[in-house]
Amino acid sequence: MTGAIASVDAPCGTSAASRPREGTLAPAEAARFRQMVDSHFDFIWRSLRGLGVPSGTIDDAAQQVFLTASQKLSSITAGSERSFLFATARGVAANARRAQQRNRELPGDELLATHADHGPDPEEIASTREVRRILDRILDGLSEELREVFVLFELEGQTSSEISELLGIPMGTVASRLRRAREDFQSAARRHHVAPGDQP
Amino acid sequence: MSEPRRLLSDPDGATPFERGLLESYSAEQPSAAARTRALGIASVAAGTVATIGVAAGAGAAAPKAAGLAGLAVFKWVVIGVAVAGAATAVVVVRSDPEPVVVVTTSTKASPVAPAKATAAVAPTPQVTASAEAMVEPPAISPADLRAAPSAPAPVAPRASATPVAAAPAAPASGSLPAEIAALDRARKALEGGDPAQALDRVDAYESQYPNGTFSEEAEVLRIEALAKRGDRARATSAGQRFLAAHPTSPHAARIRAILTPSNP
Repeated sequence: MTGAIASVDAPCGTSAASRPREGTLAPAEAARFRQMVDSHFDFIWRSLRGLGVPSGTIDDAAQQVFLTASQKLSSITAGSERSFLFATARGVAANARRAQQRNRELPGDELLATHADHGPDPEEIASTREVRRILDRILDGLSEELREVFVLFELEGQTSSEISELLGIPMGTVASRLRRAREDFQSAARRHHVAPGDQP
Repeated sequence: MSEPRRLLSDPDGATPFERGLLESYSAEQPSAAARTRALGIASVAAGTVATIGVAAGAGAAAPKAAGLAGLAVFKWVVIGVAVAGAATAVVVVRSDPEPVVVVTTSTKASPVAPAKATAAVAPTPQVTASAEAMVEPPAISPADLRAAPSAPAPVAPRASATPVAAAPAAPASGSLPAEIAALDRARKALEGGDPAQALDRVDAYESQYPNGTFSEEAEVLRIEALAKRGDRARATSAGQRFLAAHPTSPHAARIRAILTPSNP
């Protein structure tokens, strides 16, 4: 337990308490951080999911994003919180996808998948969850750059200019990626619809 | 450049199948627990003061914290706040070695007690409701935050602190990230298909943090790892102990699912 002794300093309510300790957030920073969580947590969480973080690990991935943000709070300029968070989320998602690819090569993965769902019951196959799984698979088939634009625009409902800002790419690029992403999505959807026997 | 229409908002934008796919996206939302855990980063990092500061200003955390019922995560902070008009008491304190609980009490020796105590204060359903409310950001918190922005957090120290005796809390500011990392190692082992290693790591976590913030999650991981390893007997007994100790835990359903021999 680090810091247990070092920081027995101030009972709250004394002035000393408002002095940030090493490695801690000052009250104003904590308030700012909280605002970031309040305003962006859901967006980041869903985006992580949309960007391919396996469903069982999104909570952790989101935690990681916000932990990073809390550590770098002072370097995040006001107004760019969302961009910072999203950029971090992209990195985290990329790592998670890589990790999952590695895992897929292991035989244990199937077990895990069924375990997580505690057994596919017939009714559930038609359920939202199953539909979502197809969506995930389709998204997995998109290239990374098309996927993020698709998720942000079609699923998160961001505007082109917001996306341009989030991804740091020109509006024209957003538009062209969106076009290609839609084509890929639609043709993949057609394949899945025609061949629902895709499920194991 | 004109803004393209979204597939979902264009009547001819998507086939019914595509529509279903797109709509399935928003069916999944973060749990209140996940959000609160993220808020917890600040609480821990900021120690007691900020915690109270937030209680005064922003304070979205409490109801959700309570919602976690068992989730030991919130031992260190419990903030009651007005949510959607429903004022609540302020209970603050972080605690690692010696939990200090105010307002409410419970002075069980176990440091886990505070979390439980508070959890008990707010009935889960109600909590869920408020948590739901939080999901729509404009509903409460950000607005509140903006409303009181210029009164910087330090409002706290004396303001709402009335019931707070003092928090001699030795803030384990440094230990939370380490705890998370330790537990993540266990989880990764499990996800990586190595339950034996996951069990070792859970053991390591529990011995390093005997009163750890995530001891409940660690226990859940243990049960999962046991089940995954095929050790049904131990998984079952650990699971039953868990359910007995934390009947309202957000993990309870998961544990029950693991215990139910649904898989032939």
